[in-house]
Amino acid sequence: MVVLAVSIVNRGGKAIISRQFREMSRVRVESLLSSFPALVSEKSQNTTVESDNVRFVYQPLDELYIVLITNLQSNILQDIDTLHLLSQVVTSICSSLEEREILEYAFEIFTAFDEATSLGYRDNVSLTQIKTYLEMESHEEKIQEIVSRNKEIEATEERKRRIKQLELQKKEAARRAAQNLPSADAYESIGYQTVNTTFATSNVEDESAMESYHAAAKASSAPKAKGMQLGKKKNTSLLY
Amino acid sequence: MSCWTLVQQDFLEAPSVDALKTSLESKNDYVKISAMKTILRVVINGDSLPSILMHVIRFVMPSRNKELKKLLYYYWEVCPKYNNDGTMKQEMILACNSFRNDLQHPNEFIRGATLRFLCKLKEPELLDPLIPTVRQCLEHRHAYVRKNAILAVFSIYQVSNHLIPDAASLAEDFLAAESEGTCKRNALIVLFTIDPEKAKAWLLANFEQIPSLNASSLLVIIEFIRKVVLTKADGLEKLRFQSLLVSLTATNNSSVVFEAATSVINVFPDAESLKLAASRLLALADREADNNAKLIMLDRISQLAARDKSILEDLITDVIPFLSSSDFDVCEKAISIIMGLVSSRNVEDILNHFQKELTKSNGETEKDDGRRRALTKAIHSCAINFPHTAATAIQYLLSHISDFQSKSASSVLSFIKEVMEKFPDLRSSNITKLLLSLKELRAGKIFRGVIWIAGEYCLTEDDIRVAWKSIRASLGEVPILASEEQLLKDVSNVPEDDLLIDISAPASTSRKVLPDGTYATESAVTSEALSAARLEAVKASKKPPLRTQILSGDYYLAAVLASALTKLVMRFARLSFDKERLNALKAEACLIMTSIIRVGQSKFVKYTIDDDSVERIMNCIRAIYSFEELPEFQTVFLDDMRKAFSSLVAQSDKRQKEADLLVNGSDAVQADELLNIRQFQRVIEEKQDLNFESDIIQATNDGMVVEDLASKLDHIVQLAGFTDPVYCEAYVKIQQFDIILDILLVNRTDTTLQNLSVDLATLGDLKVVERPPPMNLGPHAFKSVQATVKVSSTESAVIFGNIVYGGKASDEDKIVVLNGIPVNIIDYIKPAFIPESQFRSMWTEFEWENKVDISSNEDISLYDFLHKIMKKTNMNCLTPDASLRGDCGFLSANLYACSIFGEDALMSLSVEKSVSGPISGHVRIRSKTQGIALSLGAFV
Repeated sequence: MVVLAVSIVNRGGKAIISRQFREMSRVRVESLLSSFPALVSEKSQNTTVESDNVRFVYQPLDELYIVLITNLQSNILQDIDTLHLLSQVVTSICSSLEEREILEYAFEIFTAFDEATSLGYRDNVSLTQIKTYLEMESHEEKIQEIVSRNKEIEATEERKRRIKQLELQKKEAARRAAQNLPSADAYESIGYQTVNTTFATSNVEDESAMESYHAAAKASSAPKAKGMQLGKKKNTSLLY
Repeated sequence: MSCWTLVQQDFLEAPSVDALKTSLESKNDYVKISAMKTILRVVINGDSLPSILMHVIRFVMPSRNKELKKLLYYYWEVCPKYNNDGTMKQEMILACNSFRNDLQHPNEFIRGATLRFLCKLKEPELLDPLIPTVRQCLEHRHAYVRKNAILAVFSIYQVSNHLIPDAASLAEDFLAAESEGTCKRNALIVLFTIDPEKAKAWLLANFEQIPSLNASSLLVIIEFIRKVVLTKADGLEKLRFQSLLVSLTATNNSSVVFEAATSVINVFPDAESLKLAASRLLALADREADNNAKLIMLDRISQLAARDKSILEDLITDVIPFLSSSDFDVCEKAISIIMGLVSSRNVEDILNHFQKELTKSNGETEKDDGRRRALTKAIHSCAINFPHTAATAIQYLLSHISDFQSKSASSVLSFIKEVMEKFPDLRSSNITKLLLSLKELRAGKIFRGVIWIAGEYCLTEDDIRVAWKSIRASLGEVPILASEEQLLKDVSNVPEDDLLIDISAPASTSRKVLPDGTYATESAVTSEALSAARLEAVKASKKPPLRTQILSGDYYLAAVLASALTKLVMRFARLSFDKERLNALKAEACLIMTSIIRVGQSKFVKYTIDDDSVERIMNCIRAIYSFEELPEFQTVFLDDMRKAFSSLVAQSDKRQKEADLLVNGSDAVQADELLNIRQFQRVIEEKQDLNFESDIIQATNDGMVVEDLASKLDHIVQLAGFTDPVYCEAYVKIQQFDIILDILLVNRTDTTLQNLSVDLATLGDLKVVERPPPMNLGPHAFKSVQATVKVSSTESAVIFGNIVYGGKASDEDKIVVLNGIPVNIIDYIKPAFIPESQFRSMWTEFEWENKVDISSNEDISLYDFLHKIMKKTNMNCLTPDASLRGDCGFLSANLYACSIFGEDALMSLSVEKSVSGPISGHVRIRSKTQGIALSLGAFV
């Protein structure tokens, strides 16, 4: 019922790449694939062969084979369909079906294989859908980015407005100090407090913005920040 | 050790860790991607690069590049997550936080990829903090996220069911709310696997909506029904599930039809359902274009036929169209199914269809010939098993024998010979028909067969007379040489212009001087050229077919003809008292045989006759003259030859019966076998259930075999001595394609050996796949480690290695050199059997040959010597036993074996033993690869 592994092997049975969907040891996979060329008969027109425990459904790709390893009770019709889809995927990812090219794009091919199956069960997807999944273009992500950028702009404007307010307050305080010498102490005290509050708010927001949107630029400090976060969350987890 | 990914190493030397770290620090995403791919390849192929982990976390994990994110997930799959003392690495906490953030990422594809990665994760410490976020993803807007989320729940539950105790309820609620096809299918997978009881309840509650689900969901449901019906369902539920499966065999989707029909065949034993499912499967196979699918579906039918053939007898008409398939394998499978279903009621119809197909396959390709051979063999079996149809079958074959190619005709002839041997009633009519075809035959092999049959089975005076006339008609006028010479004379009287001689090339020219002093030129064609042209004309003229064969140089046929004539004369002498007739036959037979010898030595033939044929024919002539005075001649020609053929046929029958017994042995019921009590049906059904589960388990596991301790001790190889600082021995175990070394290490010093590692290397076509990790050995401690070596082809090889460990000073490395472990090729060689014809075709095909001379002084018989070689090389003798018996001075035999990798090994043995005692001769070994030929030769 399930696809155990998908592999691309050369004519000699060496596994170039292989992706397993069920837990199999590496030795087991390599053993199966190394025995595969001996089972392939040049005379036969068919593209399935069976050994003791598994069935190979394969298709030539120029000088290579793409091989599906399934159990003997597997549904042959679905397996053939899966094999055709995966062959198209490999052909579309690699322009030339050479060993080196396949090694170069190995992980793209793996991702495509994963998109086509879930735990070895064939997903109901087409080649176009797989390509869409591989591109990872997300409408929601764009909206989220727009929202984030707008917030950033608002924060910048807010900061500018507060700076202007501060300047106005400074001027007014200076004027009052010049006019009313007996009340100067009280006015100075009020102005000082306002200035402190504004600076604190600005620092917090600035730090948050920088951390959110330019984390890569400050690579040296990022681990520290994440370390702090993790510490907090872990404590929370422990308490919980 | 689990392995999800496998990539071949492609660079000669891996980049250094520092270079990789520098690449990871780059601002350029492409440089990072390239470095990550290299790291992944290195880690997948065995080097874990522990120091790279922090760099990946610092420089790759924060990246927003999607490709880097995907590569990062592959890295998390394969990177080592535990310290040497078994605790989780501290860095994994950073990774865990990253996973949680990605699970809440606005991009649904990143969420889905993260969820898919969680399916591969096996560590509860990492999974536990992520579970609330995974639960939230079950309700995400995008189906892509939801389908991966439900599978993540499934995988987490399988790691530990305490992490998500309500996984089944989650799946059930998910199913109720879900409308997308793949998500629903995934939820069904989860529910069916985690909680079969809940799943059954869901099925019964939603029974009416099941046929409207999509194909992939139906496949999962069918699979679940197949499992649950075998174990847990009661009678009423079984009936409902059965009717559902039967109705599903009528849907439009081919996969669903195949799965439903196969499930019905495997699960429900009643005849009506089996018939319906089988017919649906045959209809599907007919409709499906892919020959692979046809083959496998016919294979299912074949298994069903082996189990219960009465059900399928009515479906033979559905199987018969597959005989016309363009694919030979499909045709062959159809033939085998039909042969399994044949009975006295339908055998005549089947024979008619076989004969129609035989007539249709008139092509000249190799596949057409193979098809004809298969059909002929099938007709052969029908005729032998149902004697009343033999007459019809053989009449048809005899009518068309001249249409066959050599290969098909030889199988037809062997069939006819067997029918002659087994059915005496049919002999006369068959011989008459066979001899009528003598005029139309073209191949020498067929001639030999027909004439041999005539010589052996003409048992009445009338038969002998008919045979004689036919042979004479096919041979033409005798004596052959005189006739040919007369023909040459007739050609000589033809005017020269009619012989198409090239006059423009005169053979000789001379110049004369006329009396009047002028010169003249005279040309003449020489008699040699003229004679050669006339001879060619004689050779090219049309002749009776048998004469044509003999003049073409087929002296084997001539010898067979001589033998047949001798038998006919002797048998006539036994049956008849007509002396004059007998003498006339004698004289004519001798005339024919002497004519063959004389014409064979003349210039009219393509090749001169060889000495063996002359001797054989002379023996026959001598026998004809002398058999009345010497009765031993009659015994040899008429009785012993028949016995030899009878014993061959009997031996073939015996082998066939043994093969049949192996196939049908499980059906035999012994007298003391236990009765089958219905109350214990459940136990039997549970055994059936194991077939499906163990099928997947067997496919994924390495096929571990439980071994006796006694045989285990035979495979222990000591690698280091007792006086070495580290004592080492290995238990060598050979599984399917691997050599597994269980290595025991004992520290024989008073100090701790640090960073001790076993380095293995190989000579030959071996490859070390899993190597033991470095370790510390305390004073006088011992440890057991395992290493795996993979074998690529059958060849003798050696595994050798070192033990390297550090001393008290950090720069001081000490080495203990280990003994080599020889790998025996014989462990891979298994005796096997193939027909003689296949042996011959392989012999001409294979490239590598190893010739080994034999010289032995052992005082044993040649037969025992052969058996000794067979035992030593694990090869099987193909030559029949009858050919090897007797106290002859020499012996020749063919041996065959097949390695577990599917490589063939052929051996031809020729030895002789002189009176004084030593055995001498040679052995020739052929194979497709050099390794087998050389290695097997070393053992001889």
